[in-house]
Amino acid sequence: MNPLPQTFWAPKAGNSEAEYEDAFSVAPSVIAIADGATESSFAGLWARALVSGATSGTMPERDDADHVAAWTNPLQEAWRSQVPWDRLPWYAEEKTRQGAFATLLVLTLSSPPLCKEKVSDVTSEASVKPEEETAWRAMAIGDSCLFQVCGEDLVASFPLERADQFDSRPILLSANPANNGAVWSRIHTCTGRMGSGDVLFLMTDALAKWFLAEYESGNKPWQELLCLTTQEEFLAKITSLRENHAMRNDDVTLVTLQYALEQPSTDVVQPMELHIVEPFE
Amino acid sequence: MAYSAEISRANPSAFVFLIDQSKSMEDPFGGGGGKRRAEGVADAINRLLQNLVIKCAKSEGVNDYYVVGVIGYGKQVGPAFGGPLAGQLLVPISEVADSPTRVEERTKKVDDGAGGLIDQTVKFPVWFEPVADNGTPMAEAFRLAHQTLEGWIAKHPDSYPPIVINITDGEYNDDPTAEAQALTSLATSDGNTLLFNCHISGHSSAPLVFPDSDAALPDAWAKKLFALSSPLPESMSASAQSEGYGIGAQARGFAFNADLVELIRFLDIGTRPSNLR
Repeated sequence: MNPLPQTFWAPKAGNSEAEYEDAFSVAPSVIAIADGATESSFAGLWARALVSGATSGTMPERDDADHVAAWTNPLQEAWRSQVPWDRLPWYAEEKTRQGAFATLLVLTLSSPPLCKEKVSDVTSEASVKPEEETAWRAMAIGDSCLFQVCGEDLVASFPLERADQFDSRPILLSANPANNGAVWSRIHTCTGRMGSGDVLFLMTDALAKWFLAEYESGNKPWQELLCLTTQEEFLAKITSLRENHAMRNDDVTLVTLQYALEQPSTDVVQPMELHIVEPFE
Repeated sequence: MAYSAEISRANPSAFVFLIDQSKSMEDPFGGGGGKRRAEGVADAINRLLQNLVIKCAKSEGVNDYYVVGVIGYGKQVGPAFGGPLAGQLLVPISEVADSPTRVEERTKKVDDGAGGLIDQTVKFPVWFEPVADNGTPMAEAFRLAHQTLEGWIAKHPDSYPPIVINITDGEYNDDPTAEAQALTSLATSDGNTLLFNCHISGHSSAPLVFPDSDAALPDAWAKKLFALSSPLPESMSASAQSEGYGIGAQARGFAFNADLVELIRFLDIGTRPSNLR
């Protein structure tokens, strides 16, 4: 029995899908999400480079500054090589020189690999073996969050724990190494175990802030998210939250992970195909 | 909370810059470097526009988060952009980005990421050259700004309130207090129009940005401009503080012998990394 991931995403209202600057990638035993900062250029490209790198098997075993910094070097090189420097007008050249910025949240499961069936495809609770458990490890830079819900309780909130901890000025991982001096002392790590009654949620900041605010109001926001089984339902939910001013207008990404209620096949999820947007075409 | 409206292409805000082009701008600038005040004004407006354009730049171009107007006052009062933007009072920021009269290359020291500094060539666009001619009809400039923004607000009643930045040596012809108050009484549902002043003075006193009192200001001109300046909204002060600026609770949008380029950093158009410098 393996935990099954399900992914959802939405661009900022008023923006096209091509302008979505979050990124997510799911691979056997690893899920990564990243949130490219609005106020930086080629941020989507950088976010995609980070999640792709995180799920490509190159993540360091240790989450300390030296290892993570070394891991980002080739990703920064890849980002730089994909920017069309010779075609940039003066403002884009200055902006891009500052580097792109993004959050990064990486969840690694000890074993076994994730399976590709969607949660909505399974129905039988009776088939879950109660003794099943998976250890997990998470690493975060910035304000993309991981929540763990066990039954009716929120049992883990990482790296932020309160809605008032979000602001629009987080420390983020930059594609320009010169900007990362302040980052390395702010790598957050967390470990836990996931049983058959648990659900893990990975989400970018706008949704995470709503989630915590709802929880602080005595509600159980995970119930609203677990009802969503299709991308269309997710988009409708996000639109509703924005229109009711319950959530800031921002790109949104959600990945849920829970044990299948039926024994899935042995196929594993492949890293998602990354959609690279060519700038200045 | 006031001053919290989203700034986006669908909900843009407005910037209006007022630039003093009067005869007294030929006098020396106390900010040093042997410059004339007119050169201090030209540097300030060019740097403000440069930083505003870069703030709105994305990989696919410049997003029109703002419309921008520049009103010159001296020999005459009117729209000051030249070239393809001549005669226009408010233009989208993307058009400003594409219309500098020239782009210079300058050298600056930047962090090399390894504890050292290296020289880097940067592009410096120029929209405005120094001008110094005739009187200082500041009150009339405020009236034109009022007239311009009144129409814009009628079409964007829920936008983030317009910001007006007046760059001057302060030596106005007629007291502009009434006109300044009329200007800042213009409001959207998100708050009143903000009036910030950038005083390019002949005094060589130390530069001062976002003071919360006029105690350190050297003359009546500076104190008057400070009094006419709007307090920084709470959301802007919070952004400033989260970026490490020690700004008082009563801080006003006022700079003495300095430009207000820091202000651009405090504008909230979405996530801004605090390690972006």
